[in-house]
Amino acid sequence: MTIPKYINVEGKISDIIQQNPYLLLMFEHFGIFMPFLEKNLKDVCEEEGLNKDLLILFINLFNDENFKYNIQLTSLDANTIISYLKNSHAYYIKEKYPKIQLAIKKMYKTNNNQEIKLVEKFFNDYFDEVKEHFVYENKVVFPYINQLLKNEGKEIITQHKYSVAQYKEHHDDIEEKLLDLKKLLIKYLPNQISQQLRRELILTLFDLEYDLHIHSKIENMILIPLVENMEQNISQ
Amino acid sequence: MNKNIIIADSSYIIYEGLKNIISNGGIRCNIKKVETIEEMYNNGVLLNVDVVFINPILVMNNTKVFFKLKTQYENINWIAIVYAYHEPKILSLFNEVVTINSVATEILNIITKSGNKEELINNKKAEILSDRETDVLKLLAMGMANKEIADKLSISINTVITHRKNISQKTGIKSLSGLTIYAVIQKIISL
Repeated sequence: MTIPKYINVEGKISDIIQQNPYLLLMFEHFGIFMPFLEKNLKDVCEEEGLNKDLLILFINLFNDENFKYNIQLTSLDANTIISYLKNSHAYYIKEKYPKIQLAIKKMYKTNNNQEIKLVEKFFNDYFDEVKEHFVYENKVVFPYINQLLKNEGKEIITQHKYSVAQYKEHHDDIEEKLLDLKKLLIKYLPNQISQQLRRELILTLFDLEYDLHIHSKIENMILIPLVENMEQNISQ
Repeated sequence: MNKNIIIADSSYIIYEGLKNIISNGGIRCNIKKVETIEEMYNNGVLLNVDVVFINPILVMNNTKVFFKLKTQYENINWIAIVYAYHEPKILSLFNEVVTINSVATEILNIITKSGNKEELINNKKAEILSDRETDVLKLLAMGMANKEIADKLSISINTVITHRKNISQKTGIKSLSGLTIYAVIQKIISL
């Protein structure tokens, strides 16, 4: 195992948050909540029964998306990762996207501009796509991985002729339309729109973009290779 | 445009430090490390490079080779990285000098002003859609498929696709629905 740079188990959570506040959300998705008091990573890993290497890997990914690692992960970790991803799906669908939806609505209310109406429709359609994607992961991909984990693997693979590679293909780029929305707001939407509402919305979109980006990194770089490995072992 | 930068110094600390300053400065760039002047002489290494940060020690016994490189690649900004004493004669060979005490903005300014100036101007112009691209965008926003657009404008489908790529590149908007909103804002179509 390589020793991760910068972060170690003795690190206090409150200090880690000071350096990168986005990690608040990450801890939350792991089921680690405030107040953090004087707790360090080791303490919470013991409390929550988490693999400290996995937690440190996530922190490093949030701090540096190109972080290279070669930690051997196990099927137990796959479970943790899935529950993490499910929690973050719930956060996107119940909290983050509705917040953006509301912000756009508010913009339209203060200024009945037809371009904003179009943006609203653009976002609502996009939100539907995102929901569909998350539902697919929750209802198809994760149960499939769970069955693999329970060692019902061989039958599952032959029965469904399914493999996680398909998930990779299905894994559309939900980041693209978000970038479009940002561009429209920053570069093109006319100036009658409230500067304040617009700025707040743009900053919220940046938050979401960052979080989504790491989210798909976790799926593509950590979860999928791990499951592909399991599939190979089962097939042999 | 991405800047292509070479750091020619054998020290890992110098390389990581400069790299950190440059990436924290928000400059989009590719950075490559080389350790000898011969490495730069290899074919292609210096192609499209904008800035070379180089330890004068590498040049000292190789002034001829360095001179050759400088004349061959005259668009490159050659910067000495100085953290020891060097003869003024050697330092005068470089376009500029940064020292171990230089602040980040000095280094970033050097990089920003390096490179092809015409390119910058062209880049700005390039963001305005051409007449043909505007035609294509209009039909796209009206909901026409590539094939229909090709027929209507008497061009090939491939040309339509190329136009569409260029439109996305210039506007920064990739999705069709996003481009439609752009077309409304720019009054290319009306609802």
